[in-house]
Amino acid sequence: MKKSKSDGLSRRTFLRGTLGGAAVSVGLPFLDVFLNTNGDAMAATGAPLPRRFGTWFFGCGMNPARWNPSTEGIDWQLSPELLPIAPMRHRMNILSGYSVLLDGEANQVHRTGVFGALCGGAPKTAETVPGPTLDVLISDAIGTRTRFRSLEMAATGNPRHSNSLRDVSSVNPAEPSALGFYTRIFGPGFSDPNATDFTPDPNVLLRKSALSIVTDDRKRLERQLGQSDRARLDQYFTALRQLEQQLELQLQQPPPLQACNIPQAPVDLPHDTEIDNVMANHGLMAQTLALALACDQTRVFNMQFSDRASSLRMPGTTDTHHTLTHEEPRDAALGYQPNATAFVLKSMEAWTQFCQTLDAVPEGDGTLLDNCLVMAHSETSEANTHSIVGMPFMTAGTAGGRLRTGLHVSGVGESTSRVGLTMQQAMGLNVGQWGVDQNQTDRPISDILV
Amino acid sequence: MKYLISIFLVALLGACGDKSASVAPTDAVMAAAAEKQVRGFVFTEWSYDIPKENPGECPEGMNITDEDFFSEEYAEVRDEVKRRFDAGDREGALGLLPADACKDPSVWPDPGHILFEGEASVAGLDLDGESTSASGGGQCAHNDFTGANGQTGIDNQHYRLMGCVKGYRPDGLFDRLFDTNNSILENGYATLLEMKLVEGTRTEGVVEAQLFTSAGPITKDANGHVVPDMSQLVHDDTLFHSAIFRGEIKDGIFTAGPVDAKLKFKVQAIDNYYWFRDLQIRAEMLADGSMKGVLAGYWDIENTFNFLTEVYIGPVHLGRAAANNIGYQCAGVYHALPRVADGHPDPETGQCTSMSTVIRFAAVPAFIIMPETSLQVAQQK
Repeated sequence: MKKSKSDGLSRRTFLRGTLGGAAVSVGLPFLDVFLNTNGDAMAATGAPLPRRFGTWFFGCGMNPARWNPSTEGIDWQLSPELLPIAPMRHRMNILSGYSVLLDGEANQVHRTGVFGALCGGAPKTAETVPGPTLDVLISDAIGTRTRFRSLEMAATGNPRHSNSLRDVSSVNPAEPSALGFYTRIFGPGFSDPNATDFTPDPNVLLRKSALSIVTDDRKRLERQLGQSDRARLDQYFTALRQLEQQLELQLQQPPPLQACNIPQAPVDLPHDTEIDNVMANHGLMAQTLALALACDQTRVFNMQFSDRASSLRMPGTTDTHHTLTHEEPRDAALGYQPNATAFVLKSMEAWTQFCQTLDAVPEGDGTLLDNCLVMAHSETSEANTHSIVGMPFMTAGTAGGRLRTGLHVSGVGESTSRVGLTMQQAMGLNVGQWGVDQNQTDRPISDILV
Repeated sequence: MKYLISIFLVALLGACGDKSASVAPTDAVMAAAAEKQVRGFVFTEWSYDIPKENPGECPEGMNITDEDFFSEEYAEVRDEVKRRFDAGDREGALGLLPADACKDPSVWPDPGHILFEGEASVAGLDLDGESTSASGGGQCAHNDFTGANGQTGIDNQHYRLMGCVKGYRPDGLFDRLFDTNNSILENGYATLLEMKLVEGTRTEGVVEAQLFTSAGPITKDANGHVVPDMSQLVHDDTLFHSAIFRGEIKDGIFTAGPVDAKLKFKVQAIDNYYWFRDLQIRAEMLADGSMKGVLAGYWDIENTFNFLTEVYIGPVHLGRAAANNIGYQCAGVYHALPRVADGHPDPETGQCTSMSTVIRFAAVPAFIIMPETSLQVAQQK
């Protein structure tokens, strides 16, 4: 373990004084001295800075001819619909051309594209999903040592707007309110990693204690069971052990984290699909999420800027983005649907703001974004035809140096599973092959992997 | 309300099926094809005839949808429909809307449907062998089109029915779907054509032809293009095998038919089949071995209505959502279909039961494998 940069300071250093005769202590913000000399690990424990994975979803895709860059590699040319990302282009990758291969299944509109990409195979019916989704796979690997395995947010104000699921019957619902999201993280149950004192939550203690009793009973019970029942019980207790581990975390003083500053509670804005409200809620959620990540409350997140079959709408109108993609005439001179396309540009603007929010949080020798890998995606390429050919993907961040950025890679005709496999490998999962049937691949996108 | 109803657009198109239906041909398959002078093709393009150059005018305007027709009723239930939909109760949400003529066309009287009455540069064939007009009266009287090349007597009542529906206009929904070739690439099945030389040569001769639906999807290359010269397994349900019909190759043009054919399509929210009657083929045989041309025949009008409206995502019927997106009312189309029908008069009533239609297609060489043949090959292995 490397030594702290200053032996005179520790994470328990705080300023003391009195006010009106009462003792007052003020904690210090987390300083660089709490990191090792390389700035890439915590001095107290030697643990590397946490890496995080997230998805960022925008509905109803884009116009391929206007979104896909015309050139590949590092000096790719900004396309008209990617102009909003210009300030962050060198922190991102553009992955174009990847498709969900149908394998003879029907393209279930607004569904096959997203779950094909997130699950590695086309859903066979409208009632099934070949889950779990990518984020769940990754949270199973990296999300068990944080307070939340993952956090889901819907800027559209609808908790059903979530693509994260273990299977079709266990969808992880999204937090629909910026204020609710804040309260969930920084309200009761939050343990400030930089606080100078630590008191375990008595409710957690009680639950932990109860589980311990159950664990004792389990050993007694197991002696009375046959092999198959013991296996079944073991599966059951595996889930309980995960719960125990997460409760255990809440009973420990968390390690200090440089960027963890508890934000002010946001104002509660209207929760609906009007674009201005969505943009505002999205911005607030992004800020709260950034600090939740900085405070290591979770290492996996899913942000829905808009829903599948995007219900975004402009102020004063009832036509949604989705409706416009189907019903708005294509402007003959422009060659595209101007009103529907306005939502594509809004989506790219919001995505850029999201990345900038993560990038604004210093962490170690870089920023929070450096220690993240965020995958932006949609459920279609061209929404008008529900096309799942050449789906739009973008990544931001380097996953702690495991990914190159600033590249455009075209994977025309290749399965979206290559994107998913790349995400898993970049996050350190020991996965050599992913996907089913035609969508199975053992080839990550090596252009962006370090 | 549009955003609620159109949440499920429906795209009518496509062709393809089971994963094992398309494989590289074995030496035995290729040898058998050569010995029997058999040529097979798999369809790589499929589109309704939407004349881009001269689609004609609709002086009465375009057809409206249920959303337009029942706009007040829709407005009254908008919030509750949205609430139910957001709660996942799709059936309950749709149940609040006015009665759905796409499920049962008898629930509403004829709201009217604007037919295309003018001239347009449609493709097609003179199916009935005569130049006719509606004013001439008689059984199933209709106005023929004059083709872009001046050919008279072209029968295409499908365009009369849908020519004033926005989704069938140039750059409309169908036009874009066909332009992107989603109808082929996303289809769970492919359409296959096989021709066996009866006399003459491969370039000038008489053939016996047969149309099939494949057992599975088409094979695409890394660029999403259909791969030629693959073995295509035929669907094992003989419902989707046409009878054998005569054809001729002369001066680089393949003509064949008529024949009845049922061809499966499974694309997006559609899993159905076309029922074409007295179908004829006229296609140019190209130097690279592919062909490009038209299928022209009569589309059974009951099947037409069924094809338009039997649209589902899971258990939820979305015929009206499709109609709203494409731009017509199911009740209007239902009542208009007998008015445009120009083929196969009912022997008792005289009412025509099919309408002339045109499908533009392209096809590349393939080896057609009948189900029992593939079984034999498997057994030999």
